[in-house]
Amino acid sequence: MPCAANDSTTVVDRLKRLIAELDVRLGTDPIDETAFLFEGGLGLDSFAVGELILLIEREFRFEFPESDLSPESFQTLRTLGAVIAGNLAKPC
Amino acid sequence: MTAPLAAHILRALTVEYSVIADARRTLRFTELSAAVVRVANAFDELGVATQDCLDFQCDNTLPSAVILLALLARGQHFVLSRPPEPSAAQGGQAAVRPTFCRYRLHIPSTEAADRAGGPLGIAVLGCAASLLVDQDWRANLPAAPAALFLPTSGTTGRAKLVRHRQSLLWPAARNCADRLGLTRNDRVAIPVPIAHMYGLGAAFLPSLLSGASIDLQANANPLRYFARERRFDPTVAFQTPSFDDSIIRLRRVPRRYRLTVLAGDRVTADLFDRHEAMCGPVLNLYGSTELGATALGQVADAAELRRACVGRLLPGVSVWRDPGEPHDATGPAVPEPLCFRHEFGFDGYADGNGDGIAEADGTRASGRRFRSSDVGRLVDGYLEVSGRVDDLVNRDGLLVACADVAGAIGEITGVSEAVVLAGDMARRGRALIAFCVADPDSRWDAASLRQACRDVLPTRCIPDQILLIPRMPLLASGKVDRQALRHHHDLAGS
Repeated sequence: MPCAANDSTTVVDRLKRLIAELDVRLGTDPIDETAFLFEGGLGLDSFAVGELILLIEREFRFEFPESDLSPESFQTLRTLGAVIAGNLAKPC
Repeated sequence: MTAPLAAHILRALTVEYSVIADARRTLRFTELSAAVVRVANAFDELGVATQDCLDFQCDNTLPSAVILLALLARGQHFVLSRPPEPSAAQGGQAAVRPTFCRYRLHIPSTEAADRAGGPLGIAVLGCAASLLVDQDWRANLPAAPAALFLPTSGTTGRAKLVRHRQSLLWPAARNCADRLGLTRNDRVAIPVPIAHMYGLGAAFLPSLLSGASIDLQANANPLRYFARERRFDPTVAFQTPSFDDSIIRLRRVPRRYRLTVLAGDRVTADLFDRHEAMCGPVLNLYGSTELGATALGQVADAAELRRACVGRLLPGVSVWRDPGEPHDATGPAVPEPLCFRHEFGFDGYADGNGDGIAEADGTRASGRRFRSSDVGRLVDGYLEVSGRVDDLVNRDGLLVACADVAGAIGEITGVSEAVVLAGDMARRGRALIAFCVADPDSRWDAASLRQACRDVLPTRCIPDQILLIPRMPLLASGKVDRQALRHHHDLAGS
């Protein structure tokens, strides 16, 4: 049975809150879930990426498998939300 | 090409099975060699003379590496800098726009690699590098010796350029390669900028000279590093401590490297131990933009020695005491400001017009007599760096090193990082201001953490003020941005 009921949309909303906790310069506009997390988007640097991963793991109470620690999984908030939802749906 | 160094560089690129890679391409050394020759010839065809200084913005991509090697092969004067990064701009120094540069040269970013170049385009690996005539150009520098200018990355003082002789880069690189024991069987990951002295002089050029395969990583972050690690399978890595910390925190399983070189800032004992458990030997490197690599550890040293010291001085480096004092081969036995003589160090500082910059006492600094901003000592030939010159303050009549205080606070459970700066005069002497990053799970506030300091520090070393910050501000070089910390302190106090 899955660890928690988390669809991708809910996860993205929680992710937006986590992003706001990071020490990064965000504009006043709402965070766009299709924006790139790195260059050309939210501009998360090396440190912020590491912090975000640790925040996610604490918030959602799971550990990313090594295969998910990839630029593709973290391309946008939407792709990241889907990866997290996929992990949460796995049996405990 | 008529440059005398061309053959020297091209000889290094003859190892047939070695490759150099970036995020988009992989080239055999022989292909790299051919690309370097093509680009060097293209400069000739465009009428660019070797004394026409270029302002070259270089990133960690293969086109940049090819141009960089072509410039060195030609013996072309050039200023080497990184492309501007919005995220790294805060707190840094204003760039010097050299008026002695006749051209500006840059490569389209990776995302726009196929975009057309400027008025003078140079084709390099399918990209069109833009060679723009600089409207601010005033006059050329003397033609010889071929110079490489690097902007200083220091955290204090005015922005200036460090002038190196290109011919000295190669013996210095050979010394690094020998100390590290690099061979053509090594596969070297370089996520640090090759536009900085660390990435260029200690990582990129030594790897080339050794015939090691090279993976250049631009805009590195842990996720990209892991992806490249799986593909390239490196045996050696050059990193900064803060980047390494990000990597180590996210590692799920150990992954052994033959060695990892760390430079740019102090490596904490905690990071050293975590890295060694996960990835194998850490070698500290000590150096500067001015001198390049100055001291470096080696794998054969015991872990305790590698943790405590930055290794032995490299060949050609010696320590000296104050000007006028005779050279002292043994160096300081107790911590004192470190001064070096480096046979392959810089020629001097230059301002934006190419004019030499004198020190406050009227002398000209160079590799022959360079006062570092660090304090340390030599122990049985191994260099131990204990902090910065401006870290030493007098408290209760005794000297206190800010770095020592920071080290003690950093050992407190729940504190991941600490930096201590000297402030204005306070009751015990100059104030100690501690900037601390607490672990997310910890419950420290400034008052309770200051109380906890009493368990690990004598009274004179208790910081007058503790500021908890979410993260330590870093310069692009990986060093702590002390100006940003001071700015933060000023804001907190206002």
